[in-house]
Amino acid sequence: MVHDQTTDDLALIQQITQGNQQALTELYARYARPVFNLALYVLQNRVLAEEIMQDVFLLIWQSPHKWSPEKGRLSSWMMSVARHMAIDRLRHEKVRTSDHTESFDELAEHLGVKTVSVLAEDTALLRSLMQRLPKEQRDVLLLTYFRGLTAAEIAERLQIPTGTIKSRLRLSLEKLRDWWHEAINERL
Amino acid sequence: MGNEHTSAESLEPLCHHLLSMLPSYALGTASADEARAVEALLPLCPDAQVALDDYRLIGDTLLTLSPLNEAPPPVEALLRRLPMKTPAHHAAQKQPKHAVHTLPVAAAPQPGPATHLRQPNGAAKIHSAPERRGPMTANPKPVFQRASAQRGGLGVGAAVAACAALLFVGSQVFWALQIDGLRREQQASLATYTEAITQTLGERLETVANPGLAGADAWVLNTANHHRALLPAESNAEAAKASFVWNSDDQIGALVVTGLPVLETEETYQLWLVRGEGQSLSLGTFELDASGVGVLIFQAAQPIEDYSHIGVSIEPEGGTSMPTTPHLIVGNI
Repeated sequence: MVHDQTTDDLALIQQITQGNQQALTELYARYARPVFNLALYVLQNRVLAEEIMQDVFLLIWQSPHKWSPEKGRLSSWMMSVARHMAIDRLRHEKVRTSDHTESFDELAEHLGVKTVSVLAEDTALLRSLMQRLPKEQRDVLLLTYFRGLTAAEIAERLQIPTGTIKSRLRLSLEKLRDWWHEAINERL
Repeated sequence: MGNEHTSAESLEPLCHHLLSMLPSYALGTASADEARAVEALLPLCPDAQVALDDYRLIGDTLLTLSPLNEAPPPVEALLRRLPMKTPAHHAAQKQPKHAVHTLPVAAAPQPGPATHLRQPNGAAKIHSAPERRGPMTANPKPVFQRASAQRGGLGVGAAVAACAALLFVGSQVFWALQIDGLRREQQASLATYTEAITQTLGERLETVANPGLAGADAWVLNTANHHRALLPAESNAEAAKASFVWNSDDQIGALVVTGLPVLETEETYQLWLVRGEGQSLSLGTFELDASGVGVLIFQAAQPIEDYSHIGVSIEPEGGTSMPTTPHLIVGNI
């Protein structure tokens, strides 16, 4: 249950506030894998991904108060921080990733593999909805979210007008939102 | 209230434009200009706030789609990097539980709490649109629902958190802060400012619908602190019509324009203040949305009244420090 998970996470954070390394180790055991793999997916560089993952845990060690239950799940918050740190690193160091759209077929394949279990039901639903999106819209969404590329940057890479990219991004999110609601309604 | 209804209708094109900017903003890739515009307009468009909350939740869930193929390095590598915690360090961390903190990363989102409401039988409850909508209604409830059966009892907290997030974002932009203050403190001058913008938008719509009202010359209406002008006084784009409104107290304003031609990929529109021979001050760049409406919210670095004209030109993407092409439309200040 989320209550238990959040309560456990909160207890760990409180212990980390007191300087308890064992609590940090426990947190690492819980969330290092998804945080590391997310950073690795964004950066496509294991060394940089390890640095980002450690930076996320160091942030929690040094400033555990930055997360609170009001901000959502700790796991989601950590992954969100990791994503931003990774994209920031991409931009700062101009790390060259394979941002050709073909590379995102790989993620489409990954959409069917094991993912973070804590949000398994949400993940499964979104995975199925992502597969329903037209490839061109899914690519733009993934390039935006996991590479941090602006519409203009994607337009330049794909040799497509910026307006078209913006339109595809908007359509992708609108469809996901609509389909999500439909799926929930069908369950009622 | 009739006035509220009218205001909401007048704001519709602005909110429509805001919706077109939301995806990149929600995913953290909006330009600085777009981000400022989004944050300034969000308090005026409750539906957009709801959509933004939904998009962010989609983003949160997208994070969980990344594969888990690789094992992370052993924890010892992390532990070796840990700085020692001192008592002073502990004391410094005892901050108010609900204090707002900024992540040390650019444009980091504020991951919101789950908005899921769960009924006793485990079925998810959906907020219908009519329940959450209303002209200029504050504190809209996110409509996007988590699917997993885990987050019961957080609906009120979600609404409160959403309000807090809204206020936090609003504080980043002066205008948004003013509007927030308007809602909470009922400041008469700000109410007038908002009304002026609303009226201007309404007149723009009226002008668009009735070309006979457009007139060839710009006109300026001066109230105590609010000014507005209809463009063009001169135009190289026959179909272009624009409304320019600003507050001379804080030099904040907005431009709404229609009828400009669609640009090439690497071009953008740029708004200028002009005076004398070639003295120009940029107020920012903007693009047209899918319906052909361009909106720019700006804060001028110098008093707008020190300039004689406003103009819109086509510039390279990202804008320039001085106009490089003739103004497409010009208005008198």
